[in-house]
Amino acid sequence: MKKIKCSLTLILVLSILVVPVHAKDINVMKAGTPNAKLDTSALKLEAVDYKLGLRSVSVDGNKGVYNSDINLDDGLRLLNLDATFVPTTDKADRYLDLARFSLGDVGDPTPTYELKLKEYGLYNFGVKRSERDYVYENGADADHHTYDFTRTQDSMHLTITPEGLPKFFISKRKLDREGISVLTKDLYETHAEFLMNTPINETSQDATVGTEFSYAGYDFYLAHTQDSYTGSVLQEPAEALGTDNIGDKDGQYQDHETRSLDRGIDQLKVHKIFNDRFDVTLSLKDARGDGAFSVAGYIDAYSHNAYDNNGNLVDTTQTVQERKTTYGNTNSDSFIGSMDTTLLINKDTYLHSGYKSTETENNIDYFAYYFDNGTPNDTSDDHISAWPGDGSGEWKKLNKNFYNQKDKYYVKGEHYLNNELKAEVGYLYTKEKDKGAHGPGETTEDGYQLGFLYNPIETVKLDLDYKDTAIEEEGTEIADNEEIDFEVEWEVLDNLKLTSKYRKEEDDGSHYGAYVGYPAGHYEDAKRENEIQTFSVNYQPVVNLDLGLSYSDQTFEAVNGFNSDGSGTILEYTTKVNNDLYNVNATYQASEDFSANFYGNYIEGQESVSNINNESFKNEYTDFGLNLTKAVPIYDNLDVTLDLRRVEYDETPSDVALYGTNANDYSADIITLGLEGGF
Amino acid sequence: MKSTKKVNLLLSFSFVLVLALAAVVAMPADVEAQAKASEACLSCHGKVKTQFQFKRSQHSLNDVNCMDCHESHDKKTTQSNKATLKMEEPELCYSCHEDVKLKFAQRNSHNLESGEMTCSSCHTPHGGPGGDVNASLKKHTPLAGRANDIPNETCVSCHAEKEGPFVNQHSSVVAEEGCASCHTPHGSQNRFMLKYQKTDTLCLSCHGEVKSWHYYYLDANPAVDSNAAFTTDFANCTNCHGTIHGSNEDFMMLEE
Repeated sequence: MKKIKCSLTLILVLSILVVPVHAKDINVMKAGTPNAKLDTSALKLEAVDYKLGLRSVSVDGNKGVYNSDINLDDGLRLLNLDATFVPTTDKADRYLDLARFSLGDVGDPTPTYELKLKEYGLYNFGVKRSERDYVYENGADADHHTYDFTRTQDSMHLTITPEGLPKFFISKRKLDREGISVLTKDLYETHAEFLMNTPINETSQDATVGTEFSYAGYDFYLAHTQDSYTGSVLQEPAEALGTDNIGDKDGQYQDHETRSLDRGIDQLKVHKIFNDRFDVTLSLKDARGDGAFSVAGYIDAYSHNAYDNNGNLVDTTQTVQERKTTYGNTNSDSFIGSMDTTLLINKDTYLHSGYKSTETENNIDYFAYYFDNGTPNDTSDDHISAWPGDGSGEWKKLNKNFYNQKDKYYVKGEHYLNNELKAEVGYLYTKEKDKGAHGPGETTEDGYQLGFLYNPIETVKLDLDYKDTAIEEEGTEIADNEEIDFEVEWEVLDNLKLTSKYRKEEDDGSHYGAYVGYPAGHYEDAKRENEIQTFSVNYQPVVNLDLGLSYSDQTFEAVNGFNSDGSGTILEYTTKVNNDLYNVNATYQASEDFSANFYGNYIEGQESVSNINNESFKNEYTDFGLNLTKAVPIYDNLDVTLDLRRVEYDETPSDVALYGTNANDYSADIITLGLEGGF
Repeated sequence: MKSTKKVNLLLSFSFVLVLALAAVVAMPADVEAQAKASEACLSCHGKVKTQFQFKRSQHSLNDVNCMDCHESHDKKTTQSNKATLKMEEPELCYSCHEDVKLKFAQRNSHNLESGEMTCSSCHTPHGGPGGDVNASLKKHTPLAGRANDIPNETCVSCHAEKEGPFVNQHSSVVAEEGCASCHTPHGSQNRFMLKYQKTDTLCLSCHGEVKSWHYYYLDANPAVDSNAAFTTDFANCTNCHGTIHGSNEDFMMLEE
């Protein structure tokens, strides 16, 4: 792996050096530096497009659940602004063809800000900030957390494409997550009387530099990425939950965890077409990461013995409070190599094949506290973190190592039997090895796939794909996986099109389980089944009216047969989710200056667990609206818009507590009066 | 690198090369190399990294070619900012993937409306290495371990805090479908885009049995038969198992 790493780095450095060496003799390259100062008078405002909205929101029911789902508020919003500048002088034209500044959703939870600069055939530069506010107020749900945080993404890219020279690109991205998570109920024994606040403060960033060029008929892509992650979580008591038992919260409980990961990633791709018939792509990716972490705090919760059979807290001394302190270092290295080929055997037949190898090794050194007699403080094998005891003893270094290696091969033929019918046949093989706490050891999966694409007449298209593979573990077949995709498209008339899709995945016996006290692996009595049926109609009865209707029935079912009580009996049960989804659209262009669009989405969701109570949960989500656009007669390119939107969420009350309650329901009317135009 | 891996790598490359050479030798000299509608475009655009894999992509295998999504150079009638696309994402993608459009209509989904991200933030419509449907994802990785052909790298490129490695790793993050073991990124009726709407139903789909004391909250029959309902606080497993993606602190991934 080290040799590959060195080679990749060397090739990358040499390639990057080639660019400025060649560029010295080219005037346009000098001139095209995007950071060069521009005389602003050399630019003129070419066009401005905007949309302003005045919004009114009315919510009935649970506002917290509405905020979690929609989170749009009253007020004036700048929904969109695009300002485009173009050069006015020859000199400026040499540097710049286009400058565009864009804003979107300003004042809403998803604002975006963007600047693009372009000189066609020379460079493309852009900076962008996008934000998203996340609010989670769980209403009458069983989750006792609330969240309020913002993800901010800042990105920059510069691509230089001088004619006849290698493309050079550089990009940088930074993601911040800031806010707070709050545990709102007394799940902790030590400080049950306080809200537990956890400020969120995490940053990840990456920078990539690379080049892309062709030489001697070979196409090359080389890139190096440096990325990093830092996170710091400090949980501590905050406001009192009630008026009783309020003690001194300061310094009594605190849990602090830090994590970091720095990684370098090198990529090389080479592409070549031989004789217009043989297309080969070689791809190598090598990543090496080092990280560190530290933990100082508690695991703190009541144990089961603290409760009586009615769920009442009766014994506050029965806790699983454990002080945990540890620290360590991580190494995370990986390599992916692949080679894919396509051979054009004749004008009707392609042969695709490929090999892909991946290798991962995660190594974690961490420190645990041992007593003087050499036994770990934590005597349970499962408790791999450590905490100090009574002050005696010493820290010892422990290690966890995880290694995974996978080889994949595929060969696939694609043949046009005639102008109407194409057939595909393929073979797949995967071999995988795991070492470490996770994974089944060594497994192989192989099987075949078939496909047919049939156009019996010009207006009908049928597409069928089928795959069947078997998984073997240590030479014994443990699972059979089948996938089927079938699609029919029929243009009944010029203005009427019907589409139907069916997809089913069935993983029989291949469910991967990790149960307490049992080794992780595949369990043959388990099954996973995913089934989706979709039907769509698109109809244009008259030239100015478009109608669309889609319906989908989506089911996911998991069957488990597992018993951890040692009795040898199997408790088979099924978890199932079944959602019916509907979408309608109608667009009507009444005249040149008036149009209307109606849309509606309705989702009926339900799920169940087949156990002694046969629990089930049902809800309905409806989102529909009408958008009207009317041109203002006395102005060019100015429209008044009216967006009417109604959102409803409704849970079906259940006999089983918290499996559905009206307390979570809400309905909201969102009305936006807008002004949209350009000049 | 392990020696067996080197042998496998060598054998595989040899296999592909032998196959290719055999076919080239056997091929008639006057073969016409224009079977697919994309060939003309790829003669130039195939030199760009993003198109290296197009001929083997799911789109190409299903006869979706360049001109199905793009206009030609001299016919840029679209308002799309992006590479002569016939229309903006996600509408362009929805025009074939109606089932995905319906998924995004659910109660919670990644936000495509604001332009914060698009379909191609995660997917590469021109294909990727590996020859299967996962090759349409933008990034592939073995970084999170066993789930090395699934989209973990795509997900953690934004959700970096979930990546680890952790001393105590939740198996589902590194096994089988990785992040998609629990999440449905195209949309869900659950706030966290879980496969199931109720968190405990999701957990039960793998953890068929849990220690019986989790059921002491039952209103009636708090039996040791653990195949029973969770209620009240225990109805949300992450109330206590708050570091469910992985923890350096506790093997049960209890809240710090």
